[in-house]
Amino acid sequence: MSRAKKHTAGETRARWILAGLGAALIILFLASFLLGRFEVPLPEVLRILAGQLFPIGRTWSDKMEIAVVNIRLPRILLACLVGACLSAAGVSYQTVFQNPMAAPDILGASSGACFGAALAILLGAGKAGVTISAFCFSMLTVGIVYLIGARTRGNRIMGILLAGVMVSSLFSAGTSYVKLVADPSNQLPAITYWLMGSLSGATRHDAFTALIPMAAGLLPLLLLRWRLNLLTLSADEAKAAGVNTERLRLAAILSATLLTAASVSVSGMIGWIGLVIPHLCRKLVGNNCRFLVPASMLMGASFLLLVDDLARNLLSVEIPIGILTAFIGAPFFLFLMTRKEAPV
Amino acid sequence: MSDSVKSITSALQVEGLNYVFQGKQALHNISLTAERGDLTFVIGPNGAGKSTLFRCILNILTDFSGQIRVGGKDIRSMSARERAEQIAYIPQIHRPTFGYSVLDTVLMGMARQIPVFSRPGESQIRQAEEALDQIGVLHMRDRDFSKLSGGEQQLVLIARAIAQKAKILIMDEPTSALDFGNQLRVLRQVQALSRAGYTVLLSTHNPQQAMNYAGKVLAMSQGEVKAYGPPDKVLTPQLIRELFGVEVQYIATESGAVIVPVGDGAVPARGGKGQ
Repeated sequence: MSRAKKHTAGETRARWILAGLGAALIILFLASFLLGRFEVPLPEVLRILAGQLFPIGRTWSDKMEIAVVNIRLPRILLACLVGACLSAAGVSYQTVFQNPMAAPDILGASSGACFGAALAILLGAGKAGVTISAFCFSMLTVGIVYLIGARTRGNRIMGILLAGVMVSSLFSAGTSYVKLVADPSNQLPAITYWLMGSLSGATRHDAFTALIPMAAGLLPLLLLRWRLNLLTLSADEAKAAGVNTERLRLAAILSATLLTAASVSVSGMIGWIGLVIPHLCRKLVGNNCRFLVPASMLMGASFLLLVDDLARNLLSVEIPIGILTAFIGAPFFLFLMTRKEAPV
Repeated sequence: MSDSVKSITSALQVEGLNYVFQGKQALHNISLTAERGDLTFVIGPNGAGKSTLFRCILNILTDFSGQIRVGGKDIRSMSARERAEQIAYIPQIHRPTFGYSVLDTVLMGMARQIPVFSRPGESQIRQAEEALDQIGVLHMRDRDFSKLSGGEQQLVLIARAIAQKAKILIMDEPTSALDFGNQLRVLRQVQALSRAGYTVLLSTHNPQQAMNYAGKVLAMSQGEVKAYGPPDKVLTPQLIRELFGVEVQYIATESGAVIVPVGDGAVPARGGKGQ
């Protein structure tokens, strides 16, 4: 055989793109510390961040440290995490359901979280209570969907998808009802604002608490990323090849659901990103999940970080990030769609 | 070696296979034996039970009665891994939702060789390339599978089965979605594989293909075997009428018999040269 190359051309390209996305994220990460009304120059930012890990001499003021470590760092971390998680969840659901329109809310994780958050606000819970309630209802919703779907006769994938649509609409109706009975002077605006999505007021505690379920969802997807491709085989093909796709599918759904629940419960509804970032990455690195999963995570993190930078700096008042992702993302996506071959 | 021992260690042996689906007898007492290098065509109309037979052999359907043995070993006593080492399945082509490169497509057939948290290594990639080379499609290695023609896709799926290292190939209507030229290309490739020692079981609607390429024909209708044997003995006009409900006659040519329809104006109804 004449061409026993170690990597294919596509593989080499994908590696470069991954490196580029990683570099872009690092630059954006550092640049984000410079944005904000209180000015901190880059050398100080680097020194303050290093000072968190190593004992080095203080050359900065307390105010600077508070701005960088207590205010900007948690929010920047959270933006990266939520962006990476929603994008990875999108890839996972799209692969499981063989459906380019699948997004993180396809099995009701978002509508469940919204209901949980609205209910907690109605009952007067604090910020932590709202987050926990959103997370629990999100997992509960997908659990119900999966159990119903698994009981359907015939095509189980279709059963799960349909159950997702139905149970989602049930919980959406529940959210509407909660809004109806909520106190219109303070609870209703709080619910509405939560539903629009925002990362404002994120604390270090928030970021670290969210990190646990997020890591629990990201790690399996990263480790199984080549194997996820096998979910695109038909059931008969997979069986004949000696592969158990049933367990693999469950692992992918569970991970994606954890990611979505954890993200939505800390940030509110941020739509769009989990659908479109995977598609942009498909155009860049192809459909092989081995590259698609890390590429989507990196690009998702960068994208949400960028959008959040705009959300907190564009106007004197904070713009809900869910609105901005749609305003920036949708036209960009439409542009890409019409420019070349369709992405879906 | 005595005859009885030989028959037990046939590459593939199906004996008295029955399968009931929702109260209906989908397969009734099917028996067949395929040796190394045999090219067997399973022929019959839609719903005859061809796919059901294949799904039993692949152990996708497990609640059958009767015996299926591979190399003398009961298929139900084998692990999924052992089965995949013996039998490979080549499905009908379908447009995948997400396109993968040809090499990636072939590598997916080798998943059982790859640890759960790992990805294909160099030896697997080499094995996949060898399989592509064997089928003569190595030059397509980096192309997008979903953008290939139907015939090319079928050849890649055959390469995927070869890469799986199984010696028994089960092909579900490999030519049904292909144009005429690609049908011939795929069938020639299949014939070459059987000559190279693969045991091939292939289903088709087309008796002419069976006539031209089959070593043995298993004719099925309504879950039963109607005839089993070499094509020139088995594929009579009576059998075609029984299977497909149409009248045909055979015209002998230098390169084998040609099946032509009778009585619809296509050819003179009587007095043909054939049988």
